[in-house]
Amino acid sequence: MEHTIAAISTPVGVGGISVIRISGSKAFSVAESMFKSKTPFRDIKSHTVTYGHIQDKKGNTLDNVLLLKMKAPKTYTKEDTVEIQCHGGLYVTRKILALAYTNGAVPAQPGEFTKRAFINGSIDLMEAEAVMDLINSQAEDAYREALSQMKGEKSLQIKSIRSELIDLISHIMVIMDYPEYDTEKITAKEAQDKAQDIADRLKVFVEDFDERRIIREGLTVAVIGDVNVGKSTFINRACGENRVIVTDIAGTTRDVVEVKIDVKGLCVTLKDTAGIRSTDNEIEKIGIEKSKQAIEQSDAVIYIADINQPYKDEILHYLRDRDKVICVLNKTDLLLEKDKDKHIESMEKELKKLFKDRIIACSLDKKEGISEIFDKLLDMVNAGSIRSKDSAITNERHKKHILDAITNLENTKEGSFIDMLSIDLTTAAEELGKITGETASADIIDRIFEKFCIGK
Amino acid sequence: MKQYDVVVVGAGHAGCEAALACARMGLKTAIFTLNLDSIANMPCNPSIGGTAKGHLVREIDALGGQIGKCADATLIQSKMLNRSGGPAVYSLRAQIDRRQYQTVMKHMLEKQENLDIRQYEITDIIFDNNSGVTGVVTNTDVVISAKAVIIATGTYMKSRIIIGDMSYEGGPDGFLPANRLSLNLEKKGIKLRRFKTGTPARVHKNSIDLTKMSVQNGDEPIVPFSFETDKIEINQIPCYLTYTNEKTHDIIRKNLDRSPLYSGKISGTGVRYCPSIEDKIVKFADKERHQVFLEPMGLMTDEMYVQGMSSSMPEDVQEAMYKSVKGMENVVFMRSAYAIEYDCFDPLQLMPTLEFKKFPGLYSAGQSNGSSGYEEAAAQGIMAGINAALKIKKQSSFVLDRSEAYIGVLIDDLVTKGTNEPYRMMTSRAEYRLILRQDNADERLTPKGYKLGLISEERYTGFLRKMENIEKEIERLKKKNVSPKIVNPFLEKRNQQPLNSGTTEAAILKREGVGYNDLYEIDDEIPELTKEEREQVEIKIKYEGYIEKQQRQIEQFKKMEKVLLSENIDYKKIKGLRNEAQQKLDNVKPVSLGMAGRISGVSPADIQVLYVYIEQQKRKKRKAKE
Repeated sequence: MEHTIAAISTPVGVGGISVIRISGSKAFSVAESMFKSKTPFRDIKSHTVTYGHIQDKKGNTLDNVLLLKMKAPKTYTKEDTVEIQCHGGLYVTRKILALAYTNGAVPAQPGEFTKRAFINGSIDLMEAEAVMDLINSQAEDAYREALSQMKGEKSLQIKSIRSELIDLISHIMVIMDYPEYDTEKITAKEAQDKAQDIADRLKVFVEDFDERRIIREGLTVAVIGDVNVGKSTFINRACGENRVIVTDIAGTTRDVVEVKIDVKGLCVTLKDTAGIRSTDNEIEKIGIEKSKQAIEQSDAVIYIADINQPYKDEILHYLRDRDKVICVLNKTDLLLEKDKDKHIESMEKELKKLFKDRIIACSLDKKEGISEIFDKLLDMVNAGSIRSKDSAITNERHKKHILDAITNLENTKEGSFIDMLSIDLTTAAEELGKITGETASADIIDRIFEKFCIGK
Repeated sequence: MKQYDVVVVGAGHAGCEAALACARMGLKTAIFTLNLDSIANMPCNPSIGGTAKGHLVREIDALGGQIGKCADATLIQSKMLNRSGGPAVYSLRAQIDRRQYQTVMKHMLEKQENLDIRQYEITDIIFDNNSGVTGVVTNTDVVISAKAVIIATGTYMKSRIIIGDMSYEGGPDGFLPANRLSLNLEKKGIKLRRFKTGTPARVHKNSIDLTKMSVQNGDEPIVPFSFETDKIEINQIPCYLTYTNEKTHDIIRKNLDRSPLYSGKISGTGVRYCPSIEDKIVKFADKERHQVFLEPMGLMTDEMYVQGMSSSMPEDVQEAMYKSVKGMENVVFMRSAYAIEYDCFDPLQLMPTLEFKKFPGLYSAGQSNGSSGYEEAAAQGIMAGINAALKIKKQSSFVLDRSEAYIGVLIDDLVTKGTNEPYRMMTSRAEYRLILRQDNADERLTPKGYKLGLISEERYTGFLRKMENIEKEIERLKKKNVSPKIVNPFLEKRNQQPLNSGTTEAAILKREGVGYNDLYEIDDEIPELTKEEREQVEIKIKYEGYIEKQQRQIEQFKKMEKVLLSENIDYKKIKGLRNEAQQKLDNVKPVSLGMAGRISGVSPADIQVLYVYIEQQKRKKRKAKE
């Protein structure tokens, strides 16, 4: 029997509404255990929308939602399907998804809804190739996201915790596989204590995970441009029109100023790079290097230029062929009224080669352009040309693996022989390996021969 | 021209099992060996079994193989290892009278109906593009026809012995190498590997002061390997334990430049599983001493095997370092330690039946597939034999999966992942080991062996009776209620929490520190059961939770094993697969989606793609029919 799967099916963190889709034989029971409405869940008619709220196990309301209940086979996957529309932003959406996992659903694999739709016959044979292409490209996206996330400190911690676990397992296994060698023995009690210690550290990780996630995730946008083109004005205006999550403007001694703002549910980190000064060649060079670095490290770039000044060739050259750049031509208010339209038109025409339709001429001083810029940014996210470094799916899946690892580590308490413990420990290591992309069995054997001197 | 159904090339542990299986399944079989005196030889340690390997022996026996019975008949010491580790890792190991073992196995082959034994070197295999294998050619240019050929040449193909700075063409134990076969197979397109392994010196018992070493005795009573051996009553012979010391390590360090391993003379891939003493000193420089076990080679000989001191150093260094070990100050060598390099096949060329994908009718088993160890060889031998026989009989093949037997794990690892060093079976490789216990090998495999015709009616009837007795007793214990009045004194005696209300006897047995035999104290209705039956009842009840958990894991695993992949799939044409996955899949040609998933370089997403591809093909077929 196939698992019941759940995932967020709307683009990550964009727009006010997110949809969580649950599909599989247990979809209704998963939904029923968390959805409260006037009509009892079982009495809700198929293919109708019901208003209600999502309640966690402690009885707390997470969000008011619309729920669409669809009985098989008239659904996309031809399985019982529930879609939950919520509007509480990323954080709440993820809480709801996590709740679905706790209630018996499992994270959907990349492309799994589509795959099921195909396997169960709701997608035409002709489309099979497209489905196959989709699976790997989605998997690669997920992988890339996981990778970029894995670069962080947290991921190193998971890796090192997993490595400790592999140490423990290989220690047990070396005793099992080479009982006559004088390797240091380990008792079941010692192994259980060690497992509990690892579990406890993973728990901290999960708790941490929930709180920090909202801050860690989202788009990073570099704001690039010469001195005095209006970068600070842009950032101030952006903060004015959006909710500020964190601000680091006080860090005047630093080269880069960072603010995090909430743009329609998407967390955007704006990085103001030091301006490119043109007084001294050496310093200018450093400025350009810094800008390049910021461009490389960002998901998107907002390039601001003074429409009254000639633009810097080198940085423009560098921005060429990148489809993640929005070009802002600022200070249109300083143009002479009679030449204004013509001038803008000619500038836009010239830059069109580089930025296509992603050019906005405005006056930031006059509070113009801000919403246009962010709309463009969200359009690009939706079109897939830029992407948040993290995705809810990857994250929730990670969390689920960590929780499963913890469960297995704590199961070791029931085992009376160290060999039985090693089976739970190995399952735990496999769960963590799903995050770090490592497989347990080969690692354990390698570790045995790395750390222990055995063999006839 | 002589005509056979099956020809087995090589009469080591793989060859013997392969030939016996084929002959017992009614096929006209021949087994060829370079030297009749090398049949079932143990050129390395004189022991059979050990962790994971003991499991293999029990499984081979449960299928109707020979190794366990021969070991039972010739063992001189027996141990059940890992008694404290839990029932899944209990492992039998026995010291064997090597010469006696060879005699018993050779006689078994001689007595076997349908089986001819002949001293011949096989130099080539004959193929026909249409019908596959048709026969073999001997070194005397005799052509012998066969419908299937099983190669079980061990370490003999183009083998070279290396001792220090000298080396010569030669097989193990002074036997001749087989120089032509691998060359001829390579010409036909079979991919070869060059592997290396080694063995320690054999020394004269009278030259050793055994009183300076600690005595290692066997266990009583002896648990036999074979489910058919009733009991074994012998005077067990001890082994001895001593240690290397700083002086030994100094000698080795000073002479490292004379080790062919470190001077680059040996090119073959070495074994992590049997490191030489040089390797141990270099890799684990901090370790002050290493264990050295002295094992008797048999009852009618004073030769002793020095486990732990395998080496490819020059002989003068070997002797100096052996003499530095406590108790071996005056040691007299009888055979030097040596390293051996040999040709073997890349096992990725094989199907899970051990038949070559590109050469129908040609099979390979044992060290020629890159494995190490007598037990690993025997396991592949019986499986290759069974499959060759089934193919000739036009019956469907016989493959054990990873949840059914260590044999399944072994072969699946070899043909799915390949190996870069001689492959040793290890407990840690068996993910479902709580189910794959050595005590229940018969339950797992004897019905299969019976179906294949390798298990006698009599043995099978006995087996069924055993299973029934076990099941009935478990049922009884689960139903039988015990009152606190009866059971509390029993529990208090064992420092266990007393009961407030009644429970079942099975629940009592689940408690830590309570064994099945303890139940006699509170139950006078216990039926008469054999020791083995009582053991099964105890394990099955005590570890029920864990066993069920593994059963659930196995169900998950089986789902993917059941989705079969045709060998005709052109992976390079499946666009959704990543390049690396296309190549790996094309190379291995997995038989199931589960197997595909175990190939390194094939991602979970690739598996999803394959899933969709299979469905697409199915639908296309359906459409074509309509």
